Amino acid sequence: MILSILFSSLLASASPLSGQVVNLIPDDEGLKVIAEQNKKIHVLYLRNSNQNFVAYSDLITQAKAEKRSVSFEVKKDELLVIDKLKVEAKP
Amino acid sequence: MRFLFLLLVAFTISAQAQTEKLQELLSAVEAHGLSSSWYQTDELQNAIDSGDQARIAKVTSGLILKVSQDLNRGRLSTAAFGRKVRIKAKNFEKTALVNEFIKGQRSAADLVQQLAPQNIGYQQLLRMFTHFKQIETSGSWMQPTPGTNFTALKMGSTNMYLIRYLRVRLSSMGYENIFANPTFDQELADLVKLFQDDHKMKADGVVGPQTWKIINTPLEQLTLQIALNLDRMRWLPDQAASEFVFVNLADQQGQYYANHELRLSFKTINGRLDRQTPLLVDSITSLVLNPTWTVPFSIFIKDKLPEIKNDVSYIDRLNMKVIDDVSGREVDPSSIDWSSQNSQNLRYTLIQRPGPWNALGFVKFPLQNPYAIYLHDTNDRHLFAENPRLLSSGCVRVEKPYELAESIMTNQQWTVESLKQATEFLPQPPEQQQWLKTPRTVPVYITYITLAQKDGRRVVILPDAYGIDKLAAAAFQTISKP
Repeated sequence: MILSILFSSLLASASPLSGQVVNLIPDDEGLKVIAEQNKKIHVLYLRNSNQNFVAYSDLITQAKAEKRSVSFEVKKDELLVIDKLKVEAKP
Repeated sequence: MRFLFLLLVAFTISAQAQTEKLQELLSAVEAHGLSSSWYQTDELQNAIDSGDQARIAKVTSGLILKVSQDLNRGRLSTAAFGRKVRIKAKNFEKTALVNEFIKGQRSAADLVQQLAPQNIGYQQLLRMFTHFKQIETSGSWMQPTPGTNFTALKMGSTNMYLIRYLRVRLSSMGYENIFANPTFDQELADLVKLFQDDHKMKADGVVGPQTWKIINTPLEQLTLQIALNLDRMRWLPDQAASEFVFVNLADQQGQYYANHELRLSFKTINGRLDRQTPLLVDSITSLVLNPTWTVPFSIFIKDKLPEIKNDVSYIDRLNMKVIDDVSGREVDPSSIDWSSQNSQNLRYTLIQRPGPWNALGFVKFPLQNPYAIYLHDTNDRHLFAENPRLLSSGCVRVEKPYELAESIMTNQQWTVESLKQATEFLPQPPEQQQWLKTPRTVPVYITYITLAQKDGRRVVILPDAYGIDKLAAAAFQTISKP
């Protein structure tokens, strides 16, 4: 029981993930972000209800164009939902 | 900086004259639903009591600027409404006019005239506000006698007091009738039916509890509701463009204006209560014929993926195609191992092909906002017969997409007929959607006005379905004084 609660709270909490943005697919509810980290593809989602949606989508679009890495803080509900993000400095 | 400049001007005017200026302005803005009591602050009183001329000048000039800004941009901030309102606050660009007022070069009435928005929604509400304020002043608003039992009235009813009360109230709301007539005759029954129809009720001519509830709206509540709506209209540009699309979410109605004249009215379907369409100031720069529709990722995961896992032909049956998110290419659905797909690794997008099955119908009017809110046709046109029409996921479905497209394109090539020929009358739906650039940028105002006026006189009180009036009323009461 305790383990189950611990596991659930671990899933609900934000966790970092970083990678290069491969593709962006907008839909009516937000922006699907396809990111690659160590040759592994991650499927993340930025909801347009995120209060920083406009700023974040601009940052991701720019990072994709400049091929810069982005670190994402994600919250796992039914999807890997982006909570916060930061574009990493140019090497 | 702006305030410092005003302060400099203010110091050259006597404190007495400036206090009078403030009071003059406060009296003038009452007619626009801004209460003078909001600006009679303790700070002002303390400054006057101190007799310190410089302090009085500073406080009064600050208040004059605040009142001016509130009248022009709204007392309530758009930011206070969260996701319900996606309108950026206007810049205040009329400080020079305020200076002229302080220097005595401009009257309060003239300043108010210059600051008050001239957009059509504001002006219509202002006329309504003036009408009810006149009724209030003249004392012609009939108050029910305490303890009145509002029994049902219909043709042949003989309760003379209630009939008179009903006639006076209807008249006050612009439903003109001869209220000296003490009978409930056919003319009154027809008027009640009109009132019910305007208010989207069953038009049976019987004044029952639902009709009484609206008839009995207290005057103070009505004037407050108009004041809240006026404040909301201050968020829109001062001067509406000559050509624009206006959507009232509260009424689920849209209008198209050209050369400042109403050219087209149409019903709309707006966001459900849990997916409310936000208030927006936006624009149309292009149209899409035969649009595709990208299935939102969460719907793909929740609704579509289980169906596809069960039977992959589901994709074809819904006229959808699958795109690989990494390569951007279309993929044969049968080549994918759907059983291993989940929300963490699903790197495909489902796109619905153009055609009569498409959720966006045959015409889409993209907007510029980043929230994926736009106007479109629908393949569920029968839903326009419903009331209320709060049924979409946030976008605005329009009842007359071809007429709207024709109006916006305004050239011989694109008429309702040719638009239909290029879309639903095609023998085979096209594979690709078609973008058309509009000849002009057409502003779009997605608003929320809970009072409508029919035929320029009948006042219709609309339900506050999105709860925006309720939030605004609370904010009006609690907003801190400047």
